[in-house]
Amino acid sequence: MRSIVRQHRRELPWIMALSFVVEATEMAVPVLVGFVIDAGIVQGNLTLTLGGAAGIVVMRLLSTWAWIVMFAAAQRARMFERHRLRVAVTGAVLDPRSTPVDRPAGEVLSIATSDADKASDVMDMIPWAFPAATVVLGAGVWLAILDPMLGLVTLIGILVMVVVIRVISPVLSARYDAQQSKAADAAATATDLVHGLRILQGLGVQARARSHYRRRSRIALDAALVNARFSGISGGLTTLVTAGMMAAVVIIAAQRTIAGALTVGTLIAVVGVARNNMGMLQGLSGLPVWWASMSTSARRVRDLLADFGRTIDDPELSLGHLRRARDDRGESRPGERRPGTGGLRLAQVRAGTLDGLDLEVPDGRVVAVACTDARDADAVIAAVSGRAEAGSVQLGDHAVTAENRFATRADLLVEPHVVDLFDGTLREQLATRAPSSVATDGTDDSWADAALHAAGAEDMLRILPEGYDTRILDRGANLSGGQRQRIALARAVASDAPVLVLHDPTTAVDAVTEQHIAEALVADRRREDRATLLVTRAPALLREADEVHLVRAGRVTAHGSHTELMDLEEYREMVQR
Amino acid sequence: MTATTEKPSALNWDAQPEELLATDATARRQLDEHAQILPIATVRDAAAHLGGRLRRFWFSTLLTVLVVTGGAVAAAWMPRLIGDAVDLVQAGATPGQLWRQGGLIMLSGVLQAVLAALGWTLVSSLGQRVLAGMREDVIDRALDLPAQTMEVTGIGDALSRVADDVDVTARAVNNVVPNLIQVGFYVVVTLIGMVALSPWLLILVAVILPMYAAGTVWYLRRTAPIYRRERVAMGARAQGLLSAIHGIPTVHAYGIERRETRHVAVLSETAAVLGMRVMTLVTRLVKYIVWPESIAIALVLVLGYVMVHVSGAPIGVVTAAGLYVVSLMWPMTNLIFSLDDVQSAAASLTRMVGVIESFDPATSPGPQRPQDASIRLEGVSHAYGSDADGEENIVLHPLDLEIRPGERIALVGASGAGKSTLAAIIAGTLVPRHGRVLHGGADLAAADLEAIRAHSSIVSQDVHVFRGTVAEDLRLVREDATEEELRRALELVEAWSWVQALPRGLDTEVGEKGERLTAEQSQQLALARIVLRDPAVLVLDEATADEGSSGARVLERAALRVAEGRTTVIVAHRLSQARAADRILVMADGRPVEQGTHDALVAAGGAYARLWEAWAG
Repeated sequence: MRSIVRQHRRELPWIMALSFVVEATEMAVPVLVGFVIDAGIVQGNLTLTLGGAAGIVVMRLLSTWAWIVMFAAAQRARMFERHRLRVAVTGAVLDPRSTPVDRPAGEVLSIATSDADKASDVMDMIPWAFPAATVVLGAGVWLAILDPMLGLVTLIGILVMVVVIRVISPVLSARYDAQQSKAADAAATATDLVHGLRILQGLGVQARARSHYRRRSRIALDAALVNARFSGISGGLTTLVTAGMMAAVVIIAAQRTIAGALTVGTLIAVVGVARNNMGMLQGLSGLPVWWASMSTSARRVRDLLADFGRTIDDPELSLGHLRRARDDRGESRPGERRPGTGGLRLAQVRAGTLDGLDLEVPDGRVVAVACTDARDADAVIAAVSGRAEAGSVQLGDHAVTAENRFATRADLLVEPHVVDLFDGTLREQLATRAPSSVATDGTDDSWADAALHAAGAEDMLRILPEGYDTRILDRGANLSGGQRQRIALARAVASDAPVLVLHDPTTAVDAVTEQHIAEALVADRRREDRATLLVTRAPALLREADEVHLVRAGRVTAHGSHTELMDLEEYREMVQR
Repeated sequence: MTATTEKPSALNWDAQPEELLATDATARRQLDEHAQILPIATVRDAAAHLGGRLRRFWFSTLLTVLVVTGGAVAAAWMPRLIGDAVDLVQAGATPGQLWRQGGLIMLSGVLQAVLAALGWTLVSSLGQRVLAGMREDVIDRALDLPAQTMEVTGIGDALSRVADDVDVTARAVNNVVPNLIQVGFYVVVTLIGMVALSPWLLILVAVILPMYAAGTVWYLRRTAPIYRRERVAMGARAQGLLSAIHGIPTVHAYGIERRETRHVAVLSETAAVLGMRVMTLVTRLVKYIVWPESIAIALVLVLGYVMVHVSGAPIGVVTAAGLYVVSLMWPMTNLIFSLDDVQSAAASLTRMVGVIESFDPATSPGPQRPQDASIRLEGVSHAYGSDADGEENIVLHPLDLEIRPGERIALVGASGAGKSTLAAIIAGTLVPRHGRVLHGGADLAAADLEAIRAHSSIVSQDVHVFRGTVAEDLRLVREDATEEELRRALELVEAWSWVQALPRGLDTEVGEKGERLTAEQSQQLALARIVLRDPAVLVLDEATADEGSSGARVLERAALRVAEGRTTVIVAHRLSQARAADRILVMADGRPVEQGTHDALVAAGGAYARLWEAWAG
């Protein structure tokens, strides 16, 4: 919150000054009207009536001009802050150097969107709240000077209003929160059912799902009806206080007028000011709740960033930095085909269940690792991702460690087993990390053809209506599991990384396709300056690999070609499921 | 670390969204207005639909109108009473008269307060009731959306209908609608009251009303499209962030964190600029509205002079008129700005009504019920789409197939050979272009809907764990399942041990908010659902595919056990599954090319035999 205000410390004073002028003018209109009635209409002075009317118009026009300037500046600041906070949170979430945080994605999203929005509302509130409060106070003083009784009544009115609001607000906001959470629950159920639509349809339990949702919807409705009652009552109460106050002011002012202490015009002015005052007060009374929700939101943004080990003012999370910085793949000369690195070497590696694993993946070779225990496979992946606990993982001359694993990304691609595709055309999917020497504008797709071929995914061009220009939705929502996996594989192949590590790349494809992939993939990767590590138990892949290492209990227990290893009973049982 | 101060002027607030999106083709596509696939109703249809719903609550509707009108009359009474008080003062009233007048003002206040409370409650309740009915109908239709539609569009549009649109409408019903209706009635009654006060004020009403109306139309015309685009940008922004978070391993592996951050930033900036554009329109509207407002004030003074000095009206009338004018300004502005929210709620309404009216609730095509667990396909073929030349993309050529009760069939073939299409047709979730599908003698095109749904199930590679506890997930299939039945179902799929190990066993929260289950565990739950559903026909479409390389082959064993005693069709991606089947159907290019038992096919030395040889090494 403080950061937000600091960002705009230079604009805020004049914004608030203008705002004050605007609010004061609004309050002064009834006073002027009263004056014109007195001096113009009651006295029968036409010139003054016309002049006064014109004066009011001019004054309001000026005040509107001031309001527009003020409002535009304040809103621009608010919109900017929303954007800035959001981008900073996004940057912090995705930055690999941030401390990993285990928070549900939905929570991060709501902090980056609704909390960022709410926290930025401070730029909406400050320019209005302080001047408005000052003007309300000023009006009270004016009334008190006119007549102490009027001042007293106004004060009592303000107090009653504050009490009523203080009493109602918590009750009301509790009901409102209850309603919102029930409504959110119903909405989440709806979303959930639509997400699981295929499964529900597959089971044929639509009718059950329907009544399940209906129940939630009715619970939400009940909460909403309770909330409607409370909102109604609270609205009624504030109306009642305003009306009581008006009645009192009219009676007192009327008595004073009869007594000759006030003129008719002043009476009208008093009534007008009192009315305005109550209206403004009603708005101001919402401030504590507004402020509370705003600072809660600001705190949530700050805490999330703190969890990532960042702050909002981190220059690396700034908009300017984002605009200037390039993607960090540790590349020295971007775009060109990377030369070979000399391969990947693991020596005496301990990580997870690994117990001193030795492995060499030299340039020009496709090496497979078959683990009897899936946890060993996960540990191999962890080790080559820079998470080895002991031993050494070498990429050519460079060690792959937690500190520099992002610097080695240019030469080492570890394709995660769980497939994640991002919104974009098929061509864009494949070009995610392709060297920029290839044509990604559609003029020459031969590189993409080659990648699809290596991933056994040429049929995608036939299936997808617009070929390479077909949009693949987020997470590959418009593809089957097998299609997703093959596109991810093609994306990895197209990256042409000097060292490529693949983890079970063919689990979601059928046997026929798996065989195609094994042949084409190995043929594509078997080049003299490229090294490939396959962590898999698919016999088709194992057979095509240049050599296979059998890992059991965290160590390599045998190696050789697939055919040779098939003589081992343990190996045979593992691959022939 | 030094804090950098960045100014709003760092952004180009005058930029067109197109310029902002120039660097991001994905964002451009996402904001394309034509990305909506599900139908949208016209405003007229939506209004008619809403009218139909209100008629169902005709009594509440009538009562609401009466109460709100009463409240407005009470509110409009007050300026008049104050005006009378001024006249009393001018005439030198007694304190008794003054107190009586004060009492009347108080009475009008009490009436106004009571009716306002009641009116607000009535409007809001009525709105909530109508909305609840609508959101249930939207879900009702969404649950039966054809699988093909969803495949083309993704579920994004459907999701936004059932969640965002309902939310936008609900917010409006909560606050804006009651306020708008009360204020609206108040404005109308006050205008009537003014004219009743003095015919001279008719001039004032005649001058300012058209100005307000023109301003409102001008404003709403311009904001509607901006709001629509802003909403789309916000949706895309949320999706971009979510998918990047879900895909963090990939983002880091490929080093595209800045690309993804920038993608979100571009969408965020677009939303901010669009939001600011609305604010600019607001300032322009205010700049305009100050005219009718100021004219009203000036006119009431000038007319007041005329009334007093030409037609001899008392000064109290001028007071009442002045109060009317002053008390109208805020409601008028309020009205115009809340029309914004109403407009956006109306847009959501058209999207909801579009779904409700365009899809009929699923009904039974006929009375036939399956007699046994056999399946027969007669001349079944399928194709997707037909382009301008009427050319179809054939995925399944005409095919006859007979499956005996309890038989286990395996479908084998390369991707795109038509296995999944055939599987979906057999399961009854996909209606083929041509031919008949019979389950136990009942033609699916003339069968009882619920009977068929209970008769056959399909489990695919898609895994989803529903919100709530493990028990709630399973009870989605059978509401009255006892805990014992749940336990037995989980035991059968070898899931009981890990379910037991969860913090609260069956009552552990899973799904998006709760414990995260692995793909295998989720699929085990899917199989347990089948056990509870107990269909006679079971289709497994690569249901065990995502098992990865974990040692136990739990899923395959579980699938076999679940299939026990049912007619089963398995789309097999591992040949070990095919080998265990009674009959194997080898598919290629949308046709079955070989058929027979494992041994027979291996002996025949055809495509399957070659495959098996490669597989078994």
